[in-house]
Amino acid sequence: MSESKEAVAETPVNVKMETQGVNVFYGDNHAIRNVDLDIADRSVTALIGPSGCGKSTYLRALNRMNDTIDSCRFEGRILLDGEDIYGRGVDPVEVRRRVGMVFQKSNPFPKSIFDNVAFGLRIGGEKDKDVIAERVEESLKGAALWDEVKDRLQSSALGLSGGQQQRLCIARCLAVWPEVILMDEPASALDPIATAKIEELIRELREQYTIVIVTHSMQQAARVSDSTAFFYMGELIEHGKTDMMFTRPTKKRTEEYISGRFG
Amino acid sequence: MRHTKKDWLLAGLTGISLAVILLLLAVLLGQIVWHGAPVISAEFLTEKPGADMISGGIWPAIYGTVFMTLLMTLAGVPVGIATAIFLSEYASPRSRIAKLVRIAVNNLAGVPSIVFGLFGLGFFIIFVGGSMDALFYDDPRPVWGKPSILWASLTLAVLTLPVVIVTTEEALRTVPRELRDASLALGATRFQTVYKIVLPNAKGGILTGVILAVSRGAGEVAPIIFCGAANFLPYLPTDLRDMFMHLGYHVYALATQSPNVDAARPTLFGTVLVLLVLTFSLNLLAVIIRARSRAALRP
Repeated sequence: MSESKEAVAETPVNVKMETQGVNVFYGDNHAIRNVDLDIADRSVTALIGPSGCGKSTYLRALNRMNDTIDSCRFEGRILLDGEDIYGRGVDPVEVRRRVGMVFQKSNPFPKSIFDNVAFGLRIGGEKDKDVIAERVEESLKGAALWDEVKDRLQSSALGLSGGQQQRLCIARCLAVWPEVILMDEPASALDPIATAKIEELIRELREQYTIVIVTHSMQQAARVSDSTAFFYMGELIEHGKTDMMFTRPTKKRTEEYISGRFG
Repeated sequence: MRHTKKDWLLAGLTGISLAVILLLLAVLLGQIVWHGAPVISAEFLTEKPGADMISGGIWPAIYGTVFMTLLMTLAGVPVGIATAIFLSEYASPRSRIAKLVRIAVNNLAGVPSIVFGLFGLGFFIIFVGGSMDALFYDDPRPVWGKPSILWASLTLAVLTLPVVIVTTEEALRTVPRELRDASLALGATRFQTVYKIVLPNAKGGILTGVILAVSRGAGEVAPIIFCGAANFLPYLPTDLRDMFMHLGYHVYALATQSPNVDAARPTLFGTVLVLLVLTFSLNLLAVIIRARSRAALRP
């Protein structure tokens, strides 16, 4: 890193994930074109851009969720702590334990609240009931849901409200100690109050986790993120500190999108 | 809303169709219960048939039917469920093997049941059984290469296979992709996802399909004519190589092979009633399980 760049950053930034020359194809559709992007440790990176710009596809490349789609092909390297997660001999299951994901539509299992959060621990081989119970409580507290559900841990997760369900999904994700959390428009189906709760949670989680969030709301990106990446037609147009991006973007496209001229 | 004349006509026609079907069903079931019920007694249900096939009971046929149905279920259902899991969870929709298996399943479902009987005779009895005899036994008399409850059950297992595969696959497909994604994103392997998330959520649908397939197999007669059902055998099968009596086949035998067809009629109706009660209770079980699994999915 050069001297001048260090001087620009307020604090020295550690890179958690490094994307190098990433291309993603769906069949013949070239969805992501040659993206290079560094994701800083313990910070919130927002991915913005118009619908179909590839931001969700890029997000799903970060924990190899695209592997589950048949026609999807990947090129390039994504380094997690310097190690290529697409390297030979790397188990995608292992990658997904380190890089968790919260989806657009909350998707709790039709099980009890407790079993939802304990799921990741149990499939990871944890058998000790006390350890599981302790971790479930920590995770629910971490997702700011504990006080609302502590008296009904055994009731069905499907009985929770939409916002609670999404926080449950975050708790479920926290339970397996991920290092990075990917969020794909986590609040897009929620009302303003539930959205505010999720955003507050994201700001808290940033102390301990690296977060990458896809959002269609620029206000949300401005509120929660430290840096913002603007995608357009599968390309990364611009990436920078959020306050800079929203006040003085360097690229014309970014400025046009942010000022609402298209998208 | 105002009804026009055409509306009334259509409503009338569909109503008449419904009435015809209900009437047919009522007459059919009424006949069976009316003539069959007086014959039913503890003795009828627990005794062996007499030499004239009319007197005595039908216990060996009940026992044979249940035994055969169990064997058929054990042999066919696991294979069918495994195939459906392969098709729905592992095979890529474009893969050649998956396409071939689907074509095979669809064709299998359209084959007349008597053809399954011939298949059982040719493949299981003559080919598999005959080969086993040639390989392991010096005796010119067949040991495995003859009709038996084993081959009849396996033949019926093949017959029920398409139903099990299709209904199981449908049940697996009703599990939302979001649940699979959630599980995979938590670091579950594909197998863990199938075992812990997909199967438990599809359980009700799978069970319903399996029971309906089994109840269909239990009542089939044509496939087992050549494969192991006996006309008259007042002993219970104790070995997989034994032949056996079967309720459906017993009905056929009473109606066509009995020395005195008129005198056999009450026994005939009684046997039909018992067979119907057995398959109806399986269907009822399926309905109950389906209702309960639907209720379980609600919060």
